[in-house]
Amino acid sequence: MGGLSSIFSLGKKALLSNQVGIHVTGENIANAQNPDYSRQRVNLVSDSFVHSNQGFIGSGVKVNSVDRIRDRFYDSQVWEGKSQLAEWKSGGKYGNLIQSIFADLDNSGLSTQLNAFWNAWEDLGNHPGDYGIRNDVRLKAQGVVNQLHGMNSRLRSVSDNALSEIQGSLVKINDLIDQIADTNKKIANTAFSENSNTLLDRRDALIDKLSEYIDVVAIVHENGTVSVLSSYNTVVDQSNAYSLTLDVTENNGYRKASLLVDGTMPVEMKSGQLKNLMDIFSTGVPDLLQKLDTITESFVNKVNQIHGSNYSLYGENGISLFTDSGISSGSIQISQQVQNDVANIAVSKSGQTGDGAGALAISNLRYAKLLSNGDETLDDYYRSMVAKVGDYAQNMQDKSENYSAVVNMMENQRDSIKGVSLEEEMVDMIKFQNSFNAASKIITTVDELMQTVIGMVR
Amino acid sequence: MRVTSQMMGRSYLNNLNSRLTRINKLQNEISSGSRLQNPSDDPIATIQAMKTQASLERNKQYSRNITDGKYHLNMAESSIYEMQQITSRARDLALMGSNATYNAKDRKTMAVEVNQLLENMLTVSNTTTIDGYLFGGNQTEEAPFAAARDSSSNRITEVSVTGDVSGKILRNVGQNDSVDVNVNNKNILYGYKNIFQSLVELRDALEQSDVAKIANKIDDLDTVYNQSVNQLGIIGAKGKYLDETKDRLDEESYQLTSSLSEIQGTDLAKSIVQLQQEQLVYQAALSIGGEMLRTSIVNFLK
Repeated sequence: MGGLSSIFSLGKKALLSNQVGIHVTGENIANAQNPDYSRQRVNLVSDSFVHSNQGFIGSGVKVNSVDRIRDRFYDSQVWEGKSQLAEWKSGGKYGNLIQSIFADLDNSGLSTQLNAFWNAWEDLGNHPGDYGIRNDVRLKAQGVVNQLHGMNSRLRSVSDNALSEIQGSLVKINDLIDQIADTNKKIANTAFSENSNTLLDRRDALIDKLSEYIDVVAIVHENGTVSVLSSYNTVVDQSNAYSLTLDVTENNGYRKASLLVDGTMPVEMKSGQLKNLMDIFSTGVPDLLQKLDTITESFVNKVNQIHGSNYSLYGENGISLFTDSGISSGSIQISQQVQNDVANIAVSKSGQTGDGAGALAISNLRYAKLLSNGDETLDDYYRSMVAKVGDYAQNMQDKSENYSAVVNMMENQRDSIKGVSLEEEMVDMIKFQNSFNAASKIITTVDELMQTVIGMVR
Repeated sequence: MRVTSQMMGRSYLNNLNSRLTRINKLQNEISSGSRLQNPSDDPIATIQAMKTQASLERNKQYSRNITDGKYHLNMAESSIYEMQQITSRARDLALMGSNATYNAKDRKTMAVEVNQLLENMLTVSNTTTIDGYLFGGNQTEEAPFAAARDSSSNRITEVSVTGDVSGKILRNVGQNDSVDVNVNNKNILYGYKNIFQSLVELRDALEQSDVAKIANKIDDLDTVYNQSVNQLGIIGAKGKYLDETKDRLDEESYQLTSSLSEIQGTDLAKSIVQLQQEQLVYQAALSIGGEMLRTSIVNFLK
C-alpha cells in the first residue's frame, strides 16, 4: 500500500540504519588501537516489499546484523606461528644462559683450567722435589675442581629456573584454559545477542595468549564456541576445561618432567614456550650434566690411576689425587691426603725424588683419547660440548630472529582482514553522514507533501 | 592488501628493533675487538679458537720446559769444563813428574797438588743445583760419588758410584717428544778409564817418585780428557736440538697467535663501515617513520 506515511517510515528506517552505521564506525575508530579487536561492519539489507497499485515496491532499509570481520584461516596461522616463535625465543634465551657457563672464549672455562692443570704437572716434572710447584699443582687441581663444581651448580640453577618457569607457565595456561571455557559458556548463552562480538573477540584474544605457551588448534562449533586442542589433546571442550599438571621425577640425580592433561593423559608438547622449557629441563640440562660427569669421571679415574702408580716424596704409592668414590662434576674433591700434605703428590716413577717421569705421564693425559670409545681427548670431548651448546643457541637465536618477521607478516595479514583502517572508517563515516542527511531530506520532503495535501482540502 | 593502522606501527617497530639489534652487535664487536663474544656467534670458529688457545698454552709450557732443560745442560756443561781443566792440570803434573829434571821432593809437592785436584774432582762430580745433585740421574738427594778415605791421612783411596745415576731426567718439548737432559757422568768418570782411580794412582806414583808409572798415567788422563770431550759433544747436540725446537715452537706460536686473531678478531674497517651503514638506515627509518605514522586522512578532513 504505498502511501505518504509509508515513505515516512521508510525515511525513519533510513535515519536509524545510518545512525547504527555511524555508531559502528565510531566503535571501530574507538578500538583502532585495540589489538584484540575485530572490525565490525553493518550489514544493511533492503526491507520487505510492499504491494502497491504499481506492483511491489521496497519499504526501505534495515540493519540485518552487525558482522565481525575475521578470518579463521589467518587465526590458525598466527597461533601456529606464535607457538613456534615462543618456543624458539625461549630456546634462544636458555641457549644464551647456558653458553655463558662455557666461558672459554674469555679464558675462564674448563678447557683453560685443564690446560693450566696439565702445564703445572710439567713444571712439577721438571722440578719434582719443589714444594712451591707442588702447591701450585694442588692449586691448579683445585681450579679444575672449582670449575666443575661451578659449572654443575650453574647448570642446575638453569634447570631450577626452567622448572619455576614451567610452573609459572602452567598457572597461566590453566588460567587461560579456564577463562576460554568460561567465555565459551557465555557465548553459547548469548550467541545471537549484540554482546557476542565482544565475547568472541575476548575469547580469541585468550587463545592468542595461550598460543604463546602451547600449540593450539581451535575447532569452531555452530553456536560460536570453540574446542581447543593442544598436541592432539583436548584442553577445552566447549565449557569444560582440562588443566595441565606437572610430574617431576629424578633418576641418578638427573631430573625429568612430564606433563599430564586432566591429571591422567601424558602429553608431549609440539611447540610453544612450554615445549622448550620442558626440553631444557628434561633433556637439555641433564644431557650436559651427564657429559660433564663423563668428563669428570674419566679425568679423575685416569689421573688417579697414574698418580696411584707413582711414588710420593715419602716413597709411598697408591695415593689418589682426587677422592675415588662417587665421582661426579658436583662432588669431585681433592683427596684428603693431598689436601693435608703436598708431599703426598706422587710424581716419581722409580721412587727417586728427582724422577719426574710420573708427572709427565699425567701431563701427557692431555693427548690421551679417553672418551668416545678412544676417539676424543678430554679437551676434544669438552669442545664438542661447547660447539653443541653454541650451535643450539645460534640456531635458536637465528630461527627466532628470522621467524619473528614471519609471524609479524602473519599478524599483518590477519590484521589486513580484521584490523581497523582509520582512513576507511573516516570514509564510511562521511558516507553514513551523507546518507543520514539525505534520509532526513526525505522526511522533510514528505512533510512538505503532507502539508500540500492538507492544504488542498481547505 | 588492506593496510590498517596497527599494521604499520607493528612492522615499523619490528624493523627498528632488528636494526638496533644489529647495531648493538656491531658496537660490541668493535669495542671488544673480538667478533666472538659467545659460542653462538660462530660455533665452528669458537672450537678453532679454543684449539688454538690450547696449542698456544702447550707451546708456552714446552718453551718453559726447554729453558729449564737448557739450564740443566748448561750447568752440566760448565761442570764438565771444570773437570777438563782439572784433568789437563793433572796431565801437566804427570808430564812434569815423569821428567827426570825433577827430584823426589818436587814430586811430593806435585802429589799434594794432585791430591787437591782429586778432591776438586769429587766436589765437581757432586755439584748441586736447585733440584739437588746434578749428576745423580734422578737420585737427587744422595751424593752420586762417594769417596773411601784412608783412616790416618784422610786421603781419598777410592771413589765409587752410589746407586744408579743413569735415571732419565725428561723434559717434554712436544707431543710424544721428550728429551733426556740427564748427563750421565759415569761415562766420563767411569768410562774406559776411571778418572778417580787414575788420579789416585798418579798421586801415589808421584809420592813414590815412580817415574815409569807416572808416565803411564799420561795416556790414562788423555783418554779421560777425550771421554769428557765426547760428553760435551753429546750435551751440545742435545742443546742444539732444544734450541731448534724452541725456535720451531716460537715460530709456531707466532703463527697460532696470528691465526687466533684472524679467527676471533674484529675486522675493524669492515665492522665500522657496516656500523655506519646501519646507523644511516636507522636514522632514515626514524625520520620517515615519524612522517608516515603521523599522516592520516583525518588531517585532511574539515
